[in-house]
Amino acid sequence: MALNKNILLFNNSIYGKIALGLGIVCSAIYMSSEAPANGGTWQGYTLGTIGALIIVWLTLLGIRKRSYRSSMGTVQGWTSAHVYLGLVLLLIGTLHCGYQFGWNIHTLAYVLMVIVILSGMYGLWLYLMLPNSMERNRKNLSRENMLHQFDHFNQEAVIIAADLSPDIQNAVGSAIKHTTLGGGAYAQIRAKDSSRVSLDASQPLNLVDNRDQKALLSYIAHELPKPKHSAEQHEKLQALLDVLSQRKTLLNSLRLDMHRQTLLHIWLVIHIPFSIALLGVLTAHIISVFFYW
Amino acid sequence: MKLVLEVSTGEEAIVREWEGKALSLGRSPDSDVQLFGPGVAEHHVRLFEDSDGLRIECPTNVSVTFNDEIVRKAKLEIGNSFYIDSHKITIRASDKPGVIAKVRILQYDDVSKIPTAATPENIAVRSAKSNKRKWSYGLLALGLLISLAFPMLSSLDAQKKLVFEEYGLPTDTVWSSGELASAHNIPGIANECKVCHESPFVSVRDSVCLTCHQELPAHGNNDIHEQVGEDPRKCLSCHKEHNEPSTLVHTDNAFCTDCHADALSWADNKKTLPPVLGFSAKGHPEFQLQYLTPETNGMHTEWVNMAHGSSEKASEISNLTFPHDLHLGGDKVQRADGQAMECSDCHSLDKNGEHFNPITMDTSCRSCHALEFDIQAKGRELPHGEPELVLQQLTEYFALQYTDPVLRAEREQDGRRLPSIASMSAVGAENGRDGCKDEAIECARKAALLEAETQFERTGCAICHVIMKDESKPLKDRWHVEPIQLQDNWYNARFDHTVHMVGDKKTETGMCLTCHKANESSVSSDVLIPDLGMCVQCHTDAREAVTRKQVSSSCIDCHSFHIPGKPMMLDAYLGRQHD
Repeated sequence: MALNKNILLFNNSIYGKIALGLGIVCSAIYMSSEAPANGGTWQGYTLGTIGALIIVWLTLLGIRKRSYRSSMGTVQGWTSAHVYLGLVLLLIGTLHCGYQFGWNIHTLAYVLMVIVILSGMYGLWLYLMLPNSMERNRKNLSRENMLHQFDHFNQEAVIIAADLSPDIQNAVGSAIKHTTLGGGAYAQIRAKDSSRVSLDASQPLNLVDNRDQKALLSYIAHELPKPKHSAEQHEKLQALLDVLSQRKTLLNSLRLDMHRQTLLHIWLVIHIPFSIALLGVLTAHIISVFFYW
Repeated sequence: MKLVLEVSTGEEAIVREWEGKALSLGRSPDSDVQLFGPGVAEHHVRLFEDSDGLRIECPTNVSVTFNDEIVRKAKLEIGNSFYIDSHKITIRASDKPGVIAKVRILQYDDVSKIPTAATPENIAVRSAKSNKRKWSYGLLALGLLISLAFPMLSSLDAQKKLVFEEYGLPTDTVWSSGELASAHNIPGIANECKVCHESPFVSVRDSVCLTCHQELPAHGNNDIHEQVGEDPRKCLSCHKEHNEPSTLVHTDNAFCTDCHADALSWADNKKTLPPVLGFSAKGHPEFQLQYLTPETNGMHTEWVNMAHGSSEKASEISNLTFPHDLHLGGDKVQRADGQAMECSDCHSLDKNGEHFNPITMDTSCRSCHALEFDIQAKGRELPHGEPELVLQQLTEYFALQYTDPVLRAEREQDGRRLPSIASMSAVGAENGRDGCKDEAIECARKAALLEAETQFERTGCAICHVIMKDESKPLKDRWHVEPIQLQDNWYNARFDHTVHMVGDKKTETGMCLTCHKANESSVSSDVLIPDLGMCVQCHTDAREAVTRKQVSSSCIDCHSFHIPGKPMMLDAYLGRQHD
């Protein structure tokens, strides 16, 4: 069973049905109130208790997924339930507060909850959409493999260039040195190719745009038919062009992979810290309500 | 100088012999060993032999790294290495005859020095995990600080609160779950949580509310909660603050029906309340009307308000004779302008729109029912409300009639055309017209007595009033007018007439008659207050209102918890404190 396809369909969407039922029950509790909805009515306390328990349980996924020895349900089941209960939590939390918002820590807790749920929905969407296309892009290579291959192409290009003219050596070396890939999380998501290259050995700092390695490949390709190269050099140039082309293709795949991989990580950078912050503010919310009862 | 050169890329090496004065290394194609890279100069370094051994020397502005130092010149020994950019040059011993040394030039001595995607600084996202943890702890700390630590400190220490407020730090006001009701949102209460929330984890005490609300009447005659046998309830169980929209006053039925869903009875005042579920035909008992009822206690009669259910709708004892049907419709009674009378000719709503201004002789009756007794003396009226003066005034009146010759002459003149006053004619009728042969004062007394009988027993007073006659009493006390006892408040509940002046009837009176069937009432003992059935034609409780397309009515639309006239809440609270 592929996780990315079936997290919503896990066990015949049993947790979806449970969450739906829970949503209906909570709505009924909400509507049973004759007084205007409020967190302080018995309905409000009930919905608040349900919501708080769900929040605590949802954060436990982080512990459960690391507990490889645990036999308390499968991680897939937990994740499926996590998704559905997280979605219904948005309803329960909203019913609990009775649409009352203000500049206070209670609304702060609500806002944090909404941020966590929305980021979770985005993450869920990514996990449903990305893995298939990532798989196709990687062509059955791991990121490690791809990077390894990339390094290999770099070395190969350097070695081949070593036997060629200094201009070409310079161009290859400079292109390798000034190829950009990855970077911080933002750069990886942006995936902007700001690679540059020096095509003049006498001016190693005169860098020109080498986006998509176009400048380098074009330079080598133009060197190819020049009569000054011996047959042996010509052969090496051909080989160099071949390696650099493969390198370029790999580079594009890597860039795309990093972009997607980072997206898959980055939502968690919102989702997890905000859910931990939510636990803190939720605690304050509960304590304060009873402190000033 | 003869050397063996080993130029290696790390994966494969080219080994060759070299002979010359100085070995040149650099980016230039003329170099003996060509290196590449932006850190390599065209002519980077020369390696040569002098009397001491091998030496290196760089041109001006160019240097190599030797023993972790950047140098231009150095003396080399077997086993030494130096770096040009990332290229490593090592001097090794050579076993070949005539060869001084073996120079190993490792282009990229370390493969990782080739810029690769795998260098950690390029793959920042791999360390995102630690970022998440850092952010988590950071936000958790920030969240707890803002929402718990600062407010808690400001709550426990008033001085700190002032400091926090000065620096814009969060205080315990961020714990407020909503605006206070406007009456409480005032300086001294608004931002001073502890004014009401005196002790942590203890809900607001009644004593706090009663500090200001001392005059608030209670629900019952005694502490209602003791009567119900319940734990003392609190102000808080009904009045919730910090809610939006404000629920400071409960509008739901539950807080009434919590107790009133079952029949309630109190032994001390012999009162039983039927069960109430809400304002609907089934959920609400028939109205209990209050009747002013005479209670005779020996000699003394006291009028008390007695409640009766409408199933036992009693006649009202008001001592007033007033047929509503006669006055309405315009057939028998008209106003001065000839139109039919309207209800509002007598019944005018008071300011609160619930009750009516008292009906008086002067405002409602006199214009038609003036107490004139002599048709020849227009405007001459008997005193209303003072029956003991009636006989005296009549005597005085007739004494004048019998003694004043001018008056007599006038009367005799008119007498030919108009019937003379009957009581005068009746006195000494056996002697014919003007038959009283007694002394004038005797005649006057006789006529006055006759007229008083007429007024008290047949016309005048008797039209509207119930008159008791006691022959045994002295003349002046012989007739007793029973005092009018009009009920002005039939319910304890509230009712606003102004908003109910609606309906398809075009006239105001028509609207009144929709509920009050005055046009069908011929005796004043009829109680014209409508019953529950009339109300529930339009009203019902919240649960049924939507489905039945009726007006939703809750308990407090008509009833108050704090009933005017009951003992003060404060007294009940203090009583509870003493128990």
